[in-house]
Amino acid sequence: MALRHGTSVWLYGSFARGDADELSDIDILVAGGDGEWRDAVSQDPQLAWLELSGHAFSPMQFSWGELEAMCAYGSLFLHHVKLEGRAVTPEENDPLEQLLAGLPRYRRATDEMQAFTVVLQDVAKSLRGDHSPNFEMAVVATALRHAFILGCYVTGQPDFGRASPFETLSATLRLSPETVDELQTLYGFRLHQQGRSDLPFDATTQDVVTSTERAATLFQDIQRRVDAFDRAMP
Amino acid sequence: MPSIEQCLDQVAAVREAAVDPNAAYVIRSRLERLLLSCAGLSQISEFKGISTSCDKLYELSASVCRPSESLDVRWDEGWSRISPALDELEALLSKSG
Repeated sequence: MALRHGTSVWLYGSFARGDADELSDIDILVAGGDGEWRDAVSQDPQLAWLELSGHAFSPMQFSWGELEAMCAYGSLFLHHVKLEGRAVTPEENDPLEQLLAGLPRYRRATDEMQAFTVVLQDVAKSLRGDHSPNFEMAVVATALRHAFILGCYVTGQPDFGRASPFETLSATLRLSPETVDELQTLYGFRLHQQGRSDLPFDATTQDVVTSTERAATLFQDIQRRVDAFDRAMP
Repeated sequence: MPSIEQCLDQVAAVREAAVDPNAAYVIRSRLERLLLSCAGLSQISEFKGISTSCDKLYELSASVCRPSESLDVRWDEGWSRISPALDELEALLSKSG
């Protein structure tokens, strides 16, 4: 049973971080409400202007019961909102702010790393049949970005940016600037898939193999940081 | 061009991942691959019927797979909507084959 009431509307994502582009959606979290977010955002001059400029709202709506369940395992998504989000209609005793204040550490990091590894195995398997190398590059890139976001979080340098987590974690993983550039280029396949950029290059199956092998090695490095994080869990 | 067998294998892979709600990330990636393969098949006139089914699946998967982390509380309801759409697509693929 949810103990909280009312609606909190928060802005997060690229517009909250300040790295939005002309194709960015306006990410908002609607906590506890059902269709009430329109009123809240219409009163926010920045958001009203952004909508007039052609940016679409991308609302995520959760009940308080769902949010409390997510809070129980320290949802990384909620850490993301906590780090960079802001209330669209700030008020005293904002129920979401109160919930986020008690957000525990993320408890599913190892499960998540296992999921990323399964995704790499799927990519390798897909290469045995008819496949699109550009699509598989985007799959590898997406898993890599999420693994780097997780790596940033477990090493105490949270970064939920679009491509910045590669750079943020590079010192910890002792990656060269060239490697960071290559990872950011690889992420261009995902951005291309989303219609946000040109295709970095037309990938071959061998490119996918090379990227998958590199990702597997990086996942092992990040897993070591996740293990240390889990061991330190109270 | 992907084969029908390949698409059917990919349907099975989505179902296999769906057994574990913690695997939401894997499910999303497998659904995307399935939809891409089906899009390739739908270029052929005899498979045009699967486009509508794929569009429906794409729309349904957007809410249940976002955010990408697992979300047990929303999973049951989400999967209860995706599963019949997947059945429908599988039936169309099997019929076409």
